[in-house]
Amino acid sequence: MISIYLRKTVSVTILLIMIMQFSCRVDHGLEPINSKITGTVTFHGDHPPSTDEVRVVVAKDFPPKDIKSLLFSNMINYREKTAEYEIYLPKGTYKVVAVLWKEHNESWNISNVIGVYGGSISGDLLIPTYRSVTIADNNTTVRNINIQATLERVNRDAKIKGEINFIGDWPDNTGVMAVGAFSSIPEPGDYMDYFFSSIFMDYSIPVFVSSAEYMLRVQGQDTVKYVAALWIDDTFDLASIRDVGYYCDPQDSTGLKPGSVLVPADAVKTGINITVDFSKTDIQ
Amino acid sequence: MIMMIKNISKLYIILLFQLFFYANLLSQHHGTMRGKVVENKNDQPIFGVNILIKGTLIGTSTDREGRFEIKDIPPGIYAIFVSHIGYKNKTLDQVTITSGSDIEMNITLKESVVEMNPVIVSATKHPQSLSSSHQAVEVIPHTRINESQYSRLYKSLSTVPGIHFNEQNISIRGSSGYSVFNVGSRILVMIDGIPVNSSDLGAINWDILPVLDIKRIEIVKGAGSALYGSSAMGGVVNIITKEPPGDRQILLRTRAGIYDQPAYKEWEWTDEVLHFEDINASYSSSFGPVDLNLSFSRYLSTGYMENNHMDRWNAALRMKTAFKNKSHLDLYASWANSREGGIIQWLNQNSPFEVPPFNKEDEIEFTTINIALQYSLPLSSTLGLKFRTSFLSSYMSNQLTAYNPGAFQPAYGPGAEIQCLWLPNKKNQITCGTEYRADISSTEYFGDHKGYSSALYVQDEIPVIPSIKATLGFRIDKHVLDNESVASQFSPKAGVNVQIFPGTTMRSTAGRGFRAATVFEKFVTADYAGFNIIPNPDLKPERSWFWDIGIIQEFFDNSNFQLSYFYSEYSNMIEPVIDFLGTIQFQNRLQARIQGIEFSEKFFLFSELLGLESTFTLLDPVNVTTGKTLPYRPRFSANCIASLRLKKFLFQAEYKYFSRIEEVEINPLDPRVPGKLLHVRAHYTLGKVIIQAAVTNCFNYHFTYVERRMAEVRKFSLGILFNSAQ
Repeated sequence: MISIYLRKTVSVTILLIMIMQFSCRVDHGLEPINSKITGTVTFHGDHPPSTDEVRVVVAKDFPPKDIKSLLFSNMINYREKTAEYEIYLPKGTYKVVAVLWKEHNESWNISNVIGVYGGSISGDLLIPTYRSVTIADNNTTVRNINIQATLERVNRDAKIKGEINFIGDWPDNTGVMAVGAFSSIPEPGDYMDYFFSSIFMDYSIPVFVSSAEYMLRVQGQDTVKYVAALWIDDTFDLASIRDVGYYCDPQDSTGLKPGSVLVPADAVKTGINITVDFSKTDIQ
Repeated sequence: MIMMIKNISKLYIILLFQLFFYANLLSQHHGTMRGKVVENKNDQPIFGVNILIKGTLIGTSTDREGRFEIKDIPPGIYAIFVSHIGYKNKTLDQVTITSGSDIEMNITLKESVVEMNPVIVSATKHPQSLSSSHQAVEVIPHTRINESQYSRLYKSLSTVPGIHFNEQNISIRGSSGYSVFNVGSRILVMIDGIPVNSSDLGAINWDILPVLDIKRIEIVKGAGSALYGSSAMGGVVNIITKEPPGDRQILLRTRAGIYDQPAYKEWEWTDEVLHFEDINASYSSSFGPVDLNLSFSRYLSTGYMENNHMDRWNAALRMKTAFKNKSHLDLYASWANSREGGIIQWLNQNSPFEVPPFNKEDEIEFTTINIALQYSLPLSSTLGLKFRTSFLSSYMSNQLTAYNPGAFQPAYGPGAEIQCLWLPNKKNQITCGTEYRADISSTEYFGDHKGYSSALYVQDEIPVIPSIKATLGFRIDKHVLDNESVASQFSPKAGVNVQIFPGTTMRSTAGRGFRAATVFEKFVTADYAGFNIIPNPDLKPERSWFWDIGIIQEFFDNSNFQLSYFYSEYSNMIEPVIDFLGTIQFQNRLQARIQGIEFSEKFFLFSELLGLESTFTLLDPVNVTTGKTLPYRPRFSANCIASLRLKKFLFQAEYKYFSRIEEVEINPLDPRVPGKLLHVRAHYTLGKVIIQAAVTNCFNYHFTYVERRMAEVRKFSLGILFNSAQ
């Protein structure tokens, strides 16, 4: 009798242990991420009234392929001079950590980067350097990824308007046509230079049309050194960026010299027209 | 709009009166058939049994005493088809009716857990047995909805092979991915054959009616545009409501439960006990010639995550009255209102049950009013007419984060349909009709728009030889929006049903599907989760061709398996396209090809003591333009339900699996895992009361259907179902 009782007890105990073991090993699907980067964003300048939000973004590659290839932090407090942030990330190397500003009723715009880890700022300009961050394992916190950010860069109180005319056949692999205002003339083919020297980009230019209008928001009293039409292929890869036309200096008889534009604060400068001749570009 | 409704009403009243008197003149006195339907075990009468005289439009159903009577049957030799949910159906052959005869029949039906061959109406718009359908149709009876113990209707549908839900977005055979608020659904949802997709968003409100009102749900897989037009591109879900029983009956169902904490300590976000409560009541009675059913339900939930609360009310009225000329008038009116938290995305993966501070107060309100009036008029045993008028008002406020209650107005969708069913000879069965629906919408997000759609459809079922039945049909649709024709479509369909051997059926269908873009997709301007949505007024209708073939094999009259192959090609597919900056626009961007295999089996052993029902779906959804997998569509999904029935006790375990979603649109870098869910349920019947208990998501498995929105955690529930007529 006792042996039957013992056998039953042992069997039930074994069964319970098995169930408990199974419960411990049970697959719960998604798991918390324990590795992260943390740091402080130091803001310079005043935030524009049109500010919607500011976040720290991380990209595995630079330039990021598109907005979907960015990892965003929570919103950070841009109203204070400094803001702490943290982003939980799986282990790996992240090429760039940046601060991105967003305007009310507008999409995220990569030209609204206001600070980059490893870079520095000079007034409303970003110095084109950046540092990558490596998270060695899934339990590591990488601290002090501190970033200087300039809200002056997006404090745009003046506008440049113009018309862009297209000559020749559009390349079949056209993805995006944009117009950009630059603080210096970027080195052709150096997408980093396009990225860091841009003041503002208007990505809303329709493609496969004969002409379109554009509008750029810039800082009043600052000289825009270069206004260019920019082509991106249909993979939307920023590395494919090409300038296919630019605003020419009206005083230059050769028609080759880029024109600079100075707009007073709260003013609109019109007639900054650009011609794009696709037959003269190197796009395949 | 009021003028439009008045005009439609006038036209219908005149037509109804004319046909009512015409039908009276036509009614003749031939033979009569009456009798009683009882259970084989205990001779208990069965209420609501369908009795159809094959080859005619004549039919009835039994009363509370199990009795039925059919008068004015033309002389002839007939087969009588008897069916009821929960019983094996029966065909009585060679029943002879002579002039002046009065036949008394006593019919016994055997109880069955699963009806293998129920009566359906959605494949052809008239009653037929499931095995004679040319199109793939699945039926979910109300018993299965009760057994599954889900608080929300759409979850009961996810056990059907080929159906996948991304939250509340239904996809039949990979037809749909995910769109916010279910916008532009490619599945047409109907209540008793009347469309209820909203007029502005083309969206589905799954909470439109109290669950106790549902008799069964029929799901037609593959394009249904040849009968149902736009929105039926990927299939049709037809919710058939219960007819009032004709005498007093009270149904009560109440359930309460709690949500568990997440599986990981670091994800716990509140010390409060998160809970939900659900109460449903239904009262039926008879007032003179009018049978009436009133229903009510309330669902309250704290939600399983932050700002996930829900407070939902439903009320519905069903009235039915039969006239001496065998015509009958049906009214179904339902009202639904819900207020729920508006979650766009989680705070972050380490706080996935919390929302960002600026979303904490977001709330969405849905109000839907649906009124449908149907008049069925049998003019003779071979000719019948149906008139339907309906009115749908759907209001969804405050959805796009900015708190702006005045931004939305209700969208209105008044509609009408005249349908004719004609059996010109012993062979052909012709269904034809005309349909009209207006769509009127107004919001700050996409402006004021008025449109209408009108259609004409014809379908003929032709028995080529007794074992082969062909179906041919087409529908012509015209869509007008803001006085401009935006779509005209000819949608043909051909199908065949072959009884290869007794118990072995093969069926195949090919046809056209189409969907006109909704007002939302064309004109919306909004901001969603930091992404700008911009309008595209040039959006064209999307179109598809589809073909499928399937075989059904029955075993021992309570088990079967089905195997199907399906293939669809979509052109100008409308999908939200996100550009590299994150601007969203609905575009005719895609050419797509979706093919797959479905397998399902129902197997019952030892007098249905043990049951195993499984479904498997393999899907190959390809964007032909890019070669990539279409987003939000799992390549493999499976569902298995094992049940044990011991007299008054039922135990069920359900396991659901779907493979990792390969492609998503907004946050492709986020980790994703396959879906693995185990639910266990128990029922105990105690007289008129059924006690229910369930554990949903037993392993507390965490996954996302859509990026950054965690699916429901484990929950425990207890419920009671009371039926005064049990």
